[in-house]
Amino acid sequence: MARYDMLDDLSIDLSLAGELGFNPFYPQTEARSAGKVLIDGNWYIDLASNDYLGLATDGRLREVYGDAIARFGVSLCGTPIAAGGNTTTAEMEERIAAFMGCEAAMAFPSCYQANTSLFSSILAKDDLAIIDHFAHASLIEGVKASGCRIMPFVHNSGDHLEKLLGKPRPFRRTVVVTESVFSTEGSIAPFERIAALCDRYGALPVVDDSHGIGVIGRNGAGILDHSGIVDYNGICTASLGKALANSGGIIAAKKKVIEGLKYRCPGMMYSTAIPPAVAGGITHVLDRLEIDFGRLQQRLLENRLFLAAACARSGLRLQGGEAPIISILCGTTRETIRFAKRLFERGIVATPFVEPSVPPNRGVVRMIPGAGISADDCRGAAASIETIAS
Amino acid sequence: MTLEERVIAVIRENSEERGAVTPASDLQNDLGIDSFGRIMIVNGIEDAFSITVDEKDIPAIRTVADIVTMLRNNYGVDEKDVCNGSV
Ligand SMILES: Cc1ncc(COP(=O)(O)O)c(C=O)c1O
Repeated sequence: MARYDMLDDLSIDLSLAGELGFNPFYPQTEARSAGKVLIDGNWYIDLASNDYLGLATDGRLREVYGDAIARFGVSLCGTPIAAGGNTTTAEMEERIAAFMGCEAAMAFPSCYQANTSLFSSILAKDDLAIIDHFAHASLIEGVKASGCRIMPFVHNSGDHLEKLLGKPRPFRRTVVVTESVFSTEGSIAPFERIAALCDRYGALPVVDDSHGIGVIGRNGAGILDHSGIVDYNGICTASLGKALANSGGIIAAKKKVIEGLKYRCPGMMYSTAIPPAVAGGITHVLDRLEIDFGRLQQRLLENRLFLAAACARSGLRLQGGEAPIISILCGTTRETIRFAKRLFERGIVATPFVEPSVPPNRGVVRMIPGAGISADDCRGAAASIETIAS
Repeated sequence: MTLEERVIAVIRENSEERGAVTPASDLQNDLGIDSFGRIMIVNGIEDAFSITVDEKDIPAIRTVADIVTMLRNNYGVDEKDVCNGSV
């Protein structure tokens, strides 16, 4: 293929966005304050951010960043195995491991990177990954890149998983991969059963707790606490850029596993460490959760109930379950983007998911009514949704 | 049970599909099955019929009937195997 054809092949058809006069992707936020974003000079109610607890704009958190920057500068400009290692990050890793119910943890610049590099470090051609059909792209990319055999299981189906695990197969190792809270669906994995099945069939469970940490479990401890699991014999990963209101990713597990991965995971060894200020920020949020989680979670759940009721009254089809996420089933890509556009025109930003992020014709618009959204804005958003739907 | 019925049952067991599945159902357009969902169905077919599906047979699968045809023509599976309960 000639180079110019190749470049043409890499382009994308954005004519639908042109036709609808709206492209919801890559928004250009100019500023953000509690529960609101400034776009093109106008303030919008922010139902798109994963800032579940509304802590990302918190004043005290900003001060913590300032203190760490005064001590370390903004970056150590080194990889964790070399010049990037620091006491603030080490303290955060220890704290977050204990918080999640694991022995040890290691921090990455993002959970995407943690997920993609984890599987190449633990799986190879002779291994099997049994993975939830609706698992996040980073988990799918990760297992694919490892070159292992992949078997998806029906979303959140312990029965299907058990069928796949129960059949004797010639693989060296088997891992079972899932998320805790599925953010597009709003569903929560039956992880207690999944972990028990892994125990029974000798498989290693890997759960991505990105939308569970800071959201479910006591004090927001996440999926292990939510599922009543102690002495977990598996691996957890999580994004630190959602309810924990910072950025970065984590892998947590038994101490010996983390020690091994620190010398095995290329995404850890060869990538610039997260800035110490970010690590300090995460530790601060963990402190805050001990004091404030109940109150913040209450706000989040109230907002969710209020908006979900408005959606239900308006006859919108909601998907999912217990998670504090509202997923409105819209259908085709066009219908999904059009719904997001209508919300935007009424001062609301939400996140559309279209094919290939979701199966064909199963487009959804997701709203996360974080604890930072005021009661007034929540009422305003509910009224707008009812107007749009009527 | 016919081979078609058996294939439909396997598709139901190995997908999120809860609506009607017929031989004419197009996996992608009618059943909303994505690429990962296709892998799940192919794995289910392999387990149910104790075969290994050749990678090169997969792109030709569009409808439920295509799976039945593939099983008959390329893997020697027929009604008899379903009737005698061997699959
Ligand atoms: C389930 C899940 N895993 C991983 C990620 C990636 O996390 P990060 O943004 O930290 O790379 C996301 C979304 O961002 C996610 O939703």
